[in-house]
Amino acid sequence: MRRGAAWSSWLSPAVVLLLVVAFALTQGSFYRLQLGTLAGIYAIAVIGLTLLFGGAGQISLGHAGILGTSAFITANLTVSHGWTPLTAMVPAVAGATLMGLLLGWSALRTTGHYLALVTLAFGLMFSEFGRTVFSAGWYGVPPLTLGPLDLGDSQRMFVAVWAVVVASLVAVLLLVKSRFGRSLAALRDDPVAAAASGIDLARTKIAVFAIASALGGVSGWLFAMYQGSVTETSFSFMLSFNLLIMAVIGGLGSPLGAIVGSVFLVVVPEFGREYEDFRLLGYGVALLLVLGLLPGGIASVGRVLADLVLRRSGSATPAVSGK
Amino acid sequence: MSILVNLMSVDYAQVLATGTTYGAIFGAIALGYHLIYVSSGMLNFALGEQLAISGLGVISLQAFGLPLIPAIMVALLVAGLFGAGYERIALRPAMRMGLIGPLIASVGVSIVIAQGRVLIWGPNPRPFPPFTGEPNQAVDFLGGRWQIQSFWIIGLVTLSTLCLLVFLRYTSLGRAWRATSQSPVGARLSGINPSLIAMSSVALASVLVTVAGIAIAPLVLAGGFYGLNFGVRAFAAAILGGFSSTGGVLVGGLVIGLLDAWLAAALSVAWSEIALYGLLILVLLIRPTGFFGREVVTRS
Repeated sequence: MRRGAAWSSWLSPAVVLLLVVAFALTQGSFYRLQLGTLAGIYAIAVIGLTLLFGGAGQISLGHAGILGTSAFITANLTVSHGWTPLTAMVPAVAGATLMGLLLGWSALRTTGHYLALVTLAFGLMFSEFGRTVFSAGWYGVPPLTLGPLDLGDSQRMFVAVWAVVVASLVAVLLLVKSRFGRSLAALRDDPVAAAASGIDLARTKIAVFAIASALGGVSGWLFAMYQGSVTETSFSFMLSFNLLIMAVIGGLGSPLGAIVGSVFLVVVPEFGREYEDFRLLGYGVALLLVLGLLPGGIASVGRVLADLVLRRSGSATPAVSGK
Repeated sequence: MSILVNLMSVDYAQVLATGTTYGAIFGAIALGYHLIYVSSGMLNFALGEQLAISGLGVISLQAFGLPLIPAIMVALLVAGLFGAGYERIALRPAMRMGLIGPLIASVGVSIVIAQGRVLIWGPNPRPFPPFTGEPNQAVDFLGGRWQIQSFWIIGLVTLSTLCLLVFLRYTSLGRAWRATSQSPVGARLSGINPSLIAMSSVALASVLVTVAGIAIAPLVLAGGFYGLNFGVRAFAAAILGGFSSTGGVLVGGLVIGLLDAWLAAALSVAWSEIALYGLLILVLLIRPTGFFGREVVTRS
């Protein structure tokens, strides 16, 4: 791992980029492109969660509220006030980040299970608030345009979303290797020792919530334009749970796993559309199977297999060792 | 100002009736969280969904020809085995990820229960007859209208709590549970198997919430979609009462029940939910250890 760390950190983004370009060029099917776009939108939020859960050992059971904040702001500004999608991004992501700062601030006062409840209550409060205050929803969110480039076309939207995914992946990978990333790991493994080594726990916690929420905000912003409408039902607690499942299934603590998990959860159910009733049940079972049998997630399959082949004793170590 | 007037001009006798009834249920679930948390450090979020399906289990057993009381007995037995089972196959293995693991796993168990319920019993909740009297039959008591079933609920929760306390005090398994909750290391040194204690607390908590679930079913339908709502309120009750105090979590349940009933009477359903969650977050931020707990119990 030490040796070759420099190139290996660029390997996964490069592979993802290659796959995405190949997919975009070969798949003319509108439906498949739409699915791929949705997976990418989720992946951006899940990359943030990965940093939060795996990187810092924090938890958020209300992340749908973060995505929702951003999507509501985007839809409100574009539909009701005539903003362009691009300019709406600034207040949308800022709003989501602000929510994240508040959650991060509460993470200072509460830890572990208490933090889980605060974030869960936040998520439930948000969906109830949306259902009450914005029950009408917004329809006709305009597609994204970048200057002359119209991303209303599903192929271009797909490429744009996945460009953001790859950018987020690179940013988070660089972040994990930076000084900040090391303080995150220290915070996760032993907060007391981390504080004793001069790490500002408060600033680190708030920062990681803010970063995860900013990514959630970008995801919610893209979601509003992808869907073309934002309704009260889009951001229920089920979305929070699904995002959590994506992060765990892909591999907690692995940003690449976040992408694997999102694609897995969006694409695999499509192979069994006649079993639609079993979809959520399958999510739950998949979550339990991964937790029980493959703590490193799907992203660790390669490593586990390699370990088996090389007959090293002890399989892949779990990615998270929170308190 | 009108909100303030609304909040004040509430039929307090009715709030007492509704609040005590639901507060007993929240207290029972909170007691379940407490049992598991104190002895193992795990937080089992699936108890709310277990509560929601317990009435359906009794209905199905009755369809096999069992009378009500034996059907309830079998349902409690099944609930206990189910609890022990998912502790083994879902919660325990997730411990490898630290204590966040079982919490995430219990979210998975909740989803499996909630979705499995739809597959087995269909999406529609079913009516469940009250233990005595006609459906929704009520009497005047302390100035409010109390459902007859409310007395069953409060009585059953009180009785199960007493049974639990006797069990924890006088049986060897109960003593082992108390030893583990006081000092996991010391208990292990005295030959107690902490993993067995964790499994039996999940089983015991499952039985407890199933009693509560059967008792509340006549008021809220069997298999309704209230598992998450009840689970979150009980979570709040447990935190308010300080996870580590048995009496505290029951009082916490009562407080949350009364608060919930008061807000629901004063505001619309949706706004009372928003206000309740908002208050919950505030209380957690102001006083993270609750009002009865000594301090946050931490396990590593």
